[in-house]
Amino acid sequence: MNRSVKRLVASGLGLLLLAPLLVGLSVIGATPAQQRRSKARSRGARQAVDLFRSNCARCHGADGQGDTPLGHTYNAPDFTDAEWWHKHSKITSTGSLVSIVSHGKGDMPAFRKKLKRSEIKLLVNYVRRFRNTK
Amino acid sequence: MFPRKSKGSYPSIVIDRGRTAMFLCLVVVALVSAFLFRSATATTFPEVDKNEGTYAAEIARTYDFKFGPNPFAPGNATTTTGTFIPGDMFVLAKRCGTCHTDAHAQWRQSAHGNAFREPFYQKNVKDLQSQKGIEFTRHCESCHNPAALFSGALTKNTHVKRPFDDDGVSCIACHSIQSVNGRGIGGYVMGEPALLVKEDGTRLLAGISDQQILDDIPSHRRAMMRPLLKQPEFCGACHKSQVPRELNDYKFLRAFMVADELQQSSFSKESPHPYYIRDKETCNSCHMKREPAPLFDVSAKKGLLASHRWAASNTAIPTFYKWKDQLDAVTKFLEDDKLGIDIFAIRRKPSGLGAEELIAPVNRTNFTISGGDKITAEVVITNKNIGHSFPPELRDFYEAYVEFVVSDGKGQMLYQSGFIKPNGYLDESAHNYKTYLVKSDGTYNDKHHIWRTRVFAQNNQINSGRSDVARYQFHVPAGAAGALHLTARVRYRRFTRVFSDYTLGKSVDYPIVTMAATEYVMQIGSNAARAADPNDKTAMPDWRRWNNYGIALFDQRQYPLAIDAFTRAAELDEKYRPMALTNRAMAHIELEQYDEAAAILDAVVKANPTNMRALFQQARIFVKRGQLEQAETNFKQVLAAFPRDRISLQQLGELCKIKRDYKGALECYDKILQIDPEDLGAHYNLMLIYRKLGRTEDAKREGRIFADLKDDPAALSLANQFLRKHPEMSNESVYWHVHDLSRTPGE
Repeated sequence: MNRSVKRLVASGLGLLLLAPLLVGLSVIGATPAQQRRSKARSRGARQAVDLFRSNCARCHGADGQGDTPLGHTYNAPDFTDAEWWHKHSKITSTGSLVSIVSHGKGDMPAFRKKLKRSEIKLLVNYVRRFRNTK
Repeated sequence: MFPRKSKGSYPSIVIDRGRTAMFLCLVVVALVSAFLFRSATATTFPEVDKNEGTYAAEIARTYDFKFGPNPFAPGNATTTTGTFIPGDMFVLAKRCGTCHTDAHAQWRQSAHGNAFREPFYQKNVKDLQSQKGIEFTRHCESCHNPAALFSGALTKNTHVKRPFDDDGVSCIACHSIQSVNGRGIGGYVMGEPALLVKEDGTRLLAGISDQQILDDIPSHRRAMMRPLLKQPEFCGACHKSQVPRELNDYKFLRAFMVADELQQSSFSKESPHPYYIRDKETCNSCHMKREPAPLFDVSAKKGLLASHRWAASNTAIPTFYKWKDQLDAVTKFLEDDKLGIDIFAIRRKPSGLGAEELIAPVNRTNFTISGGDKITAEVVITNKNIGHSFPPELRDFYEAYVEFVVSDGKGQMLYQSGFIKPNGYLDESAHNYKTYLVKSDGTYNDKHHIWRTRVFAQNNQINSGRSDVARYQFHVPAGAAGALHLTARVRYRRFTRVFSDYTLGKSVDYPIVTMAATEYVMQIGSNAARAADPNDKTAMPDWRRWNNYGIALFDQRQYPLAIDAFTRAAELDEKYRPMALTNRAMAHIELEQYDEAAAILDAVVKANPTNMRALFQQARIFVKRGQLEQAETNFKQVLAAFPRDRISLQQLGELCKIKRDYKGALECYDKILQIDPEDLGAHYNLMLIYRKLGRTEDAKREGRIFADLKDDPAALSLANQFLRKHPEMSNESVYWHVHDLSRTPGE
């Protein structure tokens, strides 16, 4: 093992040991603004779950697979299926999804009068996360 | 006009002017009465809109207005317009289920969702239809199938399509009701169904899409939700029932009044009289508890939704349709500490000439029993956590009873009462909570043909917060040794076997739910008192056991024994003592021992001048002693705290009447009628007061209502004749009765 490799291993080990400390410090030492942002993110995540469950899950299922009685009736897609996303790439951009939720499509109703635009965006981001869960 | 026999000749017709005049007078009076009655009815119910082209006009063309201008009689339901509503306005529940997924799924299995189509109701209503005619079923459908009633489908040869029959009491039916009037049997006003109600009150239904609803949730909420839906009076519009004279060709017969029972219970917080103080509950808080919404119902909050199963006591519907979830929910509800049962005391009479001794509470007392002793076990059954009577409503074909078993140490049964016979029928001598209906020919009406009922030979129930004692007598077998196991259970079956077999046309076992159970083991020989376990938080404290025993004795009119029991309750619990002492004073009042009662109540009121329960009882004594001013002060004080206490209103009204303060009396009775428009005493007193005031027409109206509401004294003999033919029912109908287990069945 030459000297440069030794140095790399040593620094790697050092980082590995330091990592938890750094993470801990970052939490402890987060500025109030960072803490607010972190809280807002988790609040946003909770809100997205609530919005999805109360508006979408009846058809799309809580897990996004569309395996519900209404999902079967309306042939709801399986959001966890990467193949589906690939096939429907034209309508699965964030902009397209926001438009579909806002204005409806086929049997799916429009939510623009019930939900705020910010809520629709939260929902779309939440739906996109199903993509990689299978 | 009147035949008169003349001696030695054929009867001849002789005109008697006096009699003719009298007859004509009678005819005139009858016609005028009929006109007045019709006018009174017509003022209440507007004429059906007969303008050409309207739905109402089309229906009215062939509709049988058999009961006068009100098309919905003999039920009490009506619409905001007084006319028919097209059947297709009653949106099918399936559509609501698109968004209200969980509510729909729960409702589909509920008694409401199947109120019309389920086989037990169908059999009964078809019997009514075949025996009297479809018009009479308006009485039933006002609460079982409102869409059929309001669409005008309940007439002969109707062409109204009935897709709503599968929905019974549907979403739109309940959620479109605008107001109630406290009368039961559909004592409500149905609004024209709407999916959206705009801010200006515009009601929209036709052509409204789900998208439009989603776009305007506030208008949908206005259409569907209003505070009325959460009030007990709303449920009372149908959970209160009577048989009107139009249905039985006889007179008004009260069937049940659950909402009124709740109003007078401790759970309403509207009455000072109950024996216990409880937290406020409503129909919804017990029967619509929030439950998980796994189908993501749009109305769910935090994943929970007010249950639309209305779990109560109907185990028959989910059993018939094989709906496990609903059956489980109902069974769990029935088993959930609704009733209490306590083998509280035994009375022991040694063989020979020894005197009977009371051993109570049996597990807290040292005593001895020997072979040959005659034992009477006293089992106290308490309606602990139900805001109305147990069993509620239609006790004629529900089956609630007490099972009592004595077995030896080896598990061998020695005596038994309240068992199911091999043919599925209940042991006739079981201690039961049932109503025995008697038909006009004196026979037993066991198939719920309420239109044929003349009298109730028995109507056993346990009111909310009250208790009952069942007594079982048996002999300890001579020469027996070891232990005797006494077990007691309260069991509930929907329906009686005779009714379910009649309905289903075959013999089928339906579930029997055990609502409360207890056991006591005693040794033949000496038994030592067992101390209460201080760590057992679920065990009923001894003071409450004595109190429940006292309540049961009081309700069985055993006042001296009740006094003893309440005295023990007062000794054992300091906190409850004022209540127990008031209970005791009430028993003294019943025995007309006013001095004893007054001494107790004076002390209780002195210690707490705002004890409304004691103040009321004290006022009763003031009235007896002619101290009307003091009585009035007390009643007014009680009413200031409990303005809807109808018993105090009745008493104050009586007092005002005695003082000739007719205005004050009218106010009291009017307030009672606002709570219960069919209060017998209020109508009677109003009749008297109107007479005094010279308001003849008002007095006549009240007199007519009173005459219809009051019991028919002639019916009592029919009930007695019936009971003579049914000794086991006769035994059960007596307040104090003993089930002699030593007798063999049929003896």
